[in-house]
Amino acid sequence: MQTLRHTRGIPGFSISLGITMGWLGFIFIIPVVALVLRATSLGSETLLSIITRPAALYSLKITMGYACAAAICSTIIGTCIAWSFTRYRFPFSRFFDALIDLPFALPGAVGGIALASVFGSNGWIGKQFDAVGIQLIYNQFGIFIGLLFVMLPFAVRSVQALIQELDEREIQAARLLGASNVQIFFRILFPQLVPGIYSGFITSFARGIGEYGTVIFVAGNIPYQSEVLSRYIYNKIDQYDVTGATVVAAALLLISFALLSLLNISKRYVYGGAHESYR
Amino acid sequence: MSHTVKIRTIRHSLGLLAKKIISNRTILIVISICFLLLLLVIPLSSIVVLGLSKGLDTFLGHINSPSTQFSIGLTVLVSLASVIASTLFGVFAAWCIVHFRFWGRRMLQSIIELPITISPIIVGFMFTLLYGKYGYLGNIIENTGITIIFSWPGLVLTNMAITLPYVARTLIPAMESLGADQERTARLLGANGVQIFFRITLPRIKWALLYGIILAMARGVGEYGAAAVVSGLVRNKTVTLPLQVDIYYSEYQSVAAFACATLFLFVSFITIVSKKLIDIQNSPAKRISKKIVGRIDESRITTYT
Amino acid sequence: MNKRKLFIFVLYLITASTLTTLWSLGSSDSQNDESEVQLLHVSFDIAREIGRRLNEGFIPWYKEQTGVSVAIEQSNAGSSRQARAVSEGLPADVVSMNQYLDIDLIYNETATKPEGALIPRDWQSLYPNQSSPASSTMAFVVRKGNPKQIRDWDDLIRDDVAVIAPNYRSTGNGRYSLLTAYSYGLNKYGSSPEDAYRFVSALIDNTGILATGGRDATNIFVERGQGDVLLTFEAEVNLIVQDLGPDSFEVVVPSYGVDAKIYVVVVEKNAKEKGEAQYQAAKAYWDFIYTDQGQEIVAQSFFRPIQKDIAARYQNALPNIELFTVEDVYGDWGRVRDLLFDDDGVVESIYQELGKQ
Repeated sequence: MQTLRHTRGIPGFSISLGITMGWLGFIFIIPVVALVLRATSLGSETLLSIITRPAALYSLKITMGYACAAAICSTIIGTCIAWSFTRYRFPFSRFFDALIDLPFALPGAVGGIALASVFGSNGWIGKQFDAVGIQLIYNQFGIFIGLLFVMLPFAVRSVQALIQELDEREIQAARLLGASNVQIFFRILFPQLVPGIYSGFITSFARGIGEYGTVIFVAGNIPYQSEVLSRYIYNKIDQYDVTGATVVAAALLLISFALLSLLNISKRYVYGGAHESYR
Repeated sequence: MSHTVKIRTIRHSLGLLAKKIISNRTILIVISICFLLLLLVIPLSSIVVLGLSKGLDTFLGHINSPSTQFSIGLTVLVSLASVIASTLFGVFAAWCIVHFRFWGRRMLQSIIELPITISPIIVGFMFTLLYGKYGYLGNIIENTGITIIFSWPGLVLTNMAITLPYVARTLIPAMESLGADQERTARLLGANGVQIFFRITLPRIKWALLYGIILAMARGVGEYGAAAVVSGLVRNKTVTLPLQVDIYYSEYQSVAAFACATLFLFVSFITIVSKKLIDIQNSPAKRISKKIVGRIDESRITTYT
Repeated sequence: MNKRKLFIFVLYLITASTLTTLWSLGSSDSQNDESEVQLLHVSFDIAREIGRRLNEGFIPWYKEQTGVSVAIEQSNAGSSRQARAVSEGLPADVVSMNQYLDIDLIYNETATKPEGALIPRDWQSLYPNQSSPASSTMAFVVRKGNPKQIRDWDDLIRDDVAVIAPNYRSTGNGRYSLLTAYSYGLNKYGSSPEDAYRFVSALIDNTGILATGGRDATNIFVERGQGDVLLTFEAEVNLIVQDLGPDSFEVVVPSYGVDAKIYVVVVEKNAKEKGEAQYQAAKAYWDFIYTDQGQEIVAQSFFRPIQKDIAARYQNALPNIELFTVEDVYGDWGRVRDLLFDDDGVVESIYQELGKQ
């Protein structure tokens, strides 16, 4: 946005920045600082020993691993869903399209209970799998299912906006010039969708790291196996270990912030500048 | 016509038919629908089915029970309060991020997005550390006679923290794509900041704003993790609807739990309808006409991202 | 122009009404309906029903004794989490917990604060039987007909048995189960810690789902149909079979169990702050549980009353089994915590070992 660079004429800088910073500080930054202060008051040695405890590291590993795996999966399927509901019209397409927002508005407990009641070994879907000896939830795969559910709206909606804007004429021109469907997809469509797919991935991933409500209802919550980091922190508090909880929470917070910043910076390289305004 | 030719024709037409059926379009649609059926439709319809499994009267009875009614009221109030806060915040934040270049601008943007990533458990925990009875600020606040944690202000505060990003996130891209030419012109013509915002900016961003408000509302109504930490779970005092669902479930009243859960489907339904209304306002025809008059491209309302 | 004014007006109206309603909500506590005293009873997850029954008994009893009408609110969740909430400012008047450690936490966390401790240090001496009016023990729920033939603790470590339990480290319920299993191991194999360790390790290996609390565990076992046996409090076990299906579940009370004492305390500081009437009512609430009527309610809720004659009348539901107390076997709860539940305790090291396999 070239025109934005010289905006001296517009009033309200100090008041808007003041209110933004003031409110952000009150509602968010001060609590975060309090958490970090509390954690760092312990001294680096204790701090390190708490963070490097094997159970914490393991939880971190599966939280990150499954958030990443589910984010990749949900962006792929999300792109597929966004494409079918935006480009094609078929019976109930609008209905299905509308449903995608549901996980966003549902409380974690409701989503979790619903998933458990269907994928559990006596649920409608779980029963079929149970018959052949496959357990769908209450294991690591349960974490994956829970995360997919939570991530879906983020993944779909961020690509959808771009699919809507695709120019039909480009596709037709390419077809006239003899390009195959595969070529059209990878040479023309995909590059245009990359910003949406990438930011869908980032938001899904970010959302997945912190998820608590839905996942605990479908994971087995066994340490060293299916206990996500949010659950680990919650357990720490219940084990009379608030210090441990504080330290791990602060660590998780810093990790997500670093990750988010890194991904936001990398966006510029992924988009190659063309989509700077699209965040 | 010889026999072989006949077979060949049949084979050819069958092939065409097969090709038509197994087109990209069909594959994509089938994959998408199957996925949605498995992950969304079946689990969510099971909520409704179980909620209604004891008949409509029981269903309504659970929803009309005093503690459910109270939790509905509290949820509405808490999320209204936090939506108002995040709307005001979102407008100011978008205004300064879009219209001005200053040191730390990108950082500010990242920080605004942070509450989406942070586990609600940590949000609740943070507020307990700070505003709890023995927290850093809790003591000072306690002296004024206000309790925050385990009382409704705590629910409002955590809800505000969690809904914080949504309005700002939808407004920023929308305002960026609009540019600032009109605002500057208005300024040259002598309008003050308030006038510029209400007469120039607001009419053009109203749909994006409304969109953000709906998102914040939807997110706020369903907040569970953070509320569970700061609520104290005292019935008819600090129990919001998501917690009420959990309590019913813990009391082996799963029908009541699912009946309350159905209310969230209703909320989502309202979200969807309002979104559709916004989409209609932004229909391609309108968008083109707006482009022609040099107004805007509001399709850049980017939902959650 | 007009539209804009209307819009702002509506916005203003919504803001104003939200704030005023929230405000009135916050200040309405004190002047609630006709009851003169309002108590908040903070308790553990599975004490919801016994709490409700106690209230039903206590309110008319107290009215008759003093003429004061009382209303009682309840808050239930995991024992340790609730104890922490009280110590962090949840304005509880009466508290009951299923573990000594949880009530002790309320004292320990607040003793060093400038405002002083919430409860007195000698809270155990304030009511009879070391402030423990009831107890329970650990028992099993199995599916109807007991298809896996689960009779005692030994059966839980068989390879073909899947156990459902609340988290062994973070919930009182789970801690009692694990403690009983460990003690059973000690008891059976001649107090060799290695054998007890092996026994507990096998039990943990068989536990495929760790629930977040007692009630979550029950829901996973009953509603989701997971596992062969649910490990929880005896009080809960009987309630499940009674309420959720005598046709689908059976109670199994093993031969050996822990005397899981339920402790009660009045949060003196909170109650006194709210006035003398409040404090008296709070004190009377726990007096009531020691009366014959209170003990009867305890037994009807499937907890074990301390009055032997009442306990004898409920023999069928609460059979006599060999019970050990934490104090007899381990000295005190602090030792149990260090041995089993700490970050370098038995449970953590077992999970670490199992995780490596």
